[in-house]
Amino acid sequence: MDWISISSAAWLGILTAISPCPLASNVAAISFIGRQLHSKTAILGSGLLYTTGRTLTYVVLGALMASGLLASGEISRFLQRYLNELLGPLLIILGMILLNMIGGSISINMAGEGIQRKAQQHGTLYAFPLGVLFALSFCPVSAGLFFGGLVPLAAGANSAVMLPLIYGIGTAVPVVVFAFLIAFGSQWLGTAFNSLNKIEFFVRHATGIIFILVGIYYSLAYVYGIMLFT
Amino acid sequence: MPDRKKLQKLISNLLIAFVLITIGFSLGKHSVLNRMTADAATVSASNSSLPDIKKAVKIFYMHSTFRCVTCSAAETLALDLVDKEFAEARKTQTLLWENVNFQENAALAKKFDVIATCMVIATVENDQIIDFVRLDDILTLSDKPEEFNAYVRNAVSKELGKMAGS
Repeated sequence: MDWISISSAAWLGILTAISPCPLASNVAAISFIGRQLHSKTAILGSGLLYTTGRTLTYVVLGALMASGLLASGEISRFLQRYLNELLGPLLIILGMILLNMIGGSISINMAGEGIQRKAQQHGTLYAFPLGVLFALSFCPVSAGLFFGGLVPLAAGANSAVMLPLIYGIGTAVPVVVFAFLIAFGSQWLGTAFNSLNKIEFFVRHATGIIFILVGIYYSLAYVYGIMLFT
Repeated sequence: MPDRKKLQKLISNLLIAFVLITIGFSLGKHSVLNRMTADAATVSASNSSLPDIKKAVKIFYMHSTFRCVTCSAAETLALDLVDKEFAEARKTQTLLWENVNFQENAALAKKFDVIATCMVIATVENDQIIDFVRLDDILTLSDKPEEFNAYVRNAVSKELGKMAGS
């Protein structure tokens, strides 16, 4: 494995992140990572877990394809066909939980805590499954770049783990950096004007609304075939 | 505040209804598509047969249900190039074009081993696919029109040349 392969993998990842087709999910990820304004650790932790979720998904996919357990064409078509359709309803439900519209009284563990309270208190951990979910939701461009660009590159360089890992980091870094900039900017603004609680309340609610809007967009585009932006 | 609570409840119910309808619609759609795929036992070179054309080069523009901005740009570029530079072949129907949703036509997607939105340049004879080449880089080249045109032009010319030589 040489530097050309490494930089190509990183560039393919960055291209995936900045291409227009996964823009909606990136906006949702940015708002989710940057929503806990009160704590720098929580924002950094969310960013790190989101990156880990994405990266791990690409590494597992890359390893499964390299070992011959999965054919790239089959898995690409399967994920493009089903995952994006699942993503719309799922994001709407997640948005509703974040807005406390549902889940206030639903317990997901023995201690009896509501999903919404858990999401608010331990929300950082949810960045990991979000990273996994968004990594699996391939749009035409990201599918082309991963299955058509990264996988052959990794096979040629005999690197089933390292190049998918670099690609995964490349897909997450622009999103995480943007989330940090917005979060720290909002935090600075809140501190400067002594209204951090108000801004945090607004950002938390905005995250829920963004999740619902992105979910509706995904449902319309992928399930009903209604294109809003073409 | 009771009005606000009522409104929140209404929005909440509408969103839950939308989610349930969407899941139901998706399940129904896949059930129909799976049945259609099972019924289509053979892979034909076209949706409608072309009895008058014995041999031709056919461009399959393979796209997903979701047509992204980049996908539409690539399709427009490719169609413009083919219509402009291969007008004669298009007129004599030795060069054909067909848009195929690879998420609906699983048989063709499998035959071409489609990964994502791409173009397939195939030689067809008596409605059967004899040979094909898949162009996977059309999306990444769509913002570089000169490179894109050279990529597509070379592939189409090569297949037309092969057909003329055989």
